[in-house]
Amino acid sequence: SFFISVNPQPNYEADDHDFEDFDNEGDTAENSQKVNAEEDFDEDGVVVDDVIEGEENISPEFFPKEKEDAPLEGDEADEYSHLADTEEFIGYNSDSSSTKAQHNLHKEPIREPKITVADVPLHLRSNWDSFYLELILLFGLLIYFGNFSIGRSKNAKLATSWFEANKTLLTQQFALVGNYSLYCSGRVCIHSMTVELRLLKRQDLVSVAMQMFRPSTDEVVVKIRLDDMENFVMCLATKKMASKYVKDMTDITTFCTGDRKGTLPSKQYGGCASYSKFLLLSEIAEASNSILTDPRTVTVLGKHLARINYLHISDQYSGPQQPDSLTTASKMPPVLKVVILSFQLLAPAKFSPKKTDKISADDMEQLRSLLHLVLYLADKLSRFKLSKESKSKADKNRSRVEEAFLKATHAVRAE
Amino acid sequence: MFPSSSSEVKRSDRVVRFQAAVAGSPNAPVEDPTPDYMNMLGMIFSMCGLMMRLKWCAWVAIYCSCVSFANCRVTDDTKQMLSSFMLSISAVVMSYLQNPQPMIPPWSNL
Repeated sequence: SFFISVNPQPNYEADDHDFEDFDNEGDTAENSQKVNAEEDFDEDGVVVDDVIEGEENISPEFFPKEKEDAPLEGDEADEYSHLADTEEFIGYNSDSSSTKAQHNLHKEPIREPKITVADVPLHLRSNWDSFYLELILLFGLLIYFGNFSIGRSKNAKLATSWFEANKTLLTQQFALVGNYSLYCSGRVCIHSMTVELRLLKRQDLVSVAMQMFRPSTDEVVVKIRLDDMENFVMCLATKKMASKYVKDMTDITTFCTGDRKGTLPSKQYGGCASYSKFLLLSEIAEASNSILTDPRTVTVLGKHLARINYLHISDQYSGPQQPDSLTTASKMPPVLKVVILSFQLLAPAKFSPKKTDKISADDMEQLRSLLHLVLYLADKLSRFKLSKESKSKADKNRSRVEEAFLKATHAVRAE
Repeated sequence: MFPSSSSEVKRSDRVVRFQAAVAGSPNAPVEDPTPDYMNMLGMIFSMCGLMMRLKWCAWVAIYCSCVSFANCRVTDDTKQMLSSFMLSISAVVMSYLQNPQPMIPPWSNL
């Protein structure tokens, strides 16, 4: 191989001999010490380039003394100026340190650099199947959202089909229908009516799974707020619903105390299949009997008794019990005169041959007659009058409750 | 069973516009607590996933957000729903960025 050591100093002057015999004419003593252009080839052809400053351990005779040439002037200098141009020598590493590295090569073994392995976590593996748990979880999310869209559309279909079936009746009875999701108003003796469809959460996979362990049904709750009615409280509910619903309602727990529990009038309802499932809580027996033994009520209620969850009639309705009602309330909570009927949207599984989420025509007919029943009860209650004894008894109850309330709030304020 | 003609019972002069019932008043609808509980649970799991780098917590947080979304009412605030989803998704992403190894199923060391 062919190797030239060129020091690209600006004041360097080239020599006109050929390259083997290249030396620095006109260099000062210091330059000749720094760059010795004498090249020797040792026997196996490797250029031994004598080098550079401060190498004391190399003996002087190795570097024969050369005659200093005079520096070139004028045209001759121009002719060789290209030798000073580093681009001329492409690929040749003019760095003086390389020659030093070569020199060390011969002298001592290269010290192994100390490699420290950084604590870098393993990168994503090339095979994605080691992420099978993540794939299962993603698949679970996919199923969840699939069920969400199916369940929501099923509920929407149920609600619209119920509304379509009852729209004609509602528009006949009320001046305003559907101001809010099924709020109606503008009818004789009725302040307003709200129909709430409490459907199963078919869109939530967790609820669907819970449904298997704790079955429940779609519920329609019709709540009519009356303009006026006599003072009494009654509630007819299935035993299952009674334990949950009744305990929640302030007016029932206040006015229908333990000893007033009874059952449906057996003469009119004794023949019904689900007669024994019902519990009657009534403050004034005369009022509940009059309501439940009315011929029209008997025909509709008796026919659809299996669908009914509860029938709640009250002049002291104040909603579910509020936990902090005593501590914060200074006066009696506002009460409403209401008729609330809750029934199942779909026929109980026992009666319908195939348990489907569709409302059949027969179902529609039954739902319409139950809505008729509630409106009929509203009319009847506005005409219904209690006897004198029952009225005085009811008034006594209400004053007793008011006193107890004032005493309780007074005691709380005193504390 | 009812007065046949609707003109006898309809009273357009007595229409009462709907007013949303104040919470605690008799007319207040029964509130379903599920979306709020699942939202809270989702946020707790997201925090665990982010701070303690537990991947399974982050995944459970996503499921809690989904259940809360499925049970939320139309009247509910969508911002809260969106923030709960963003928090749980960021928990999953961060836990995989910090440690890209797959989750080790509990049954693998049985």
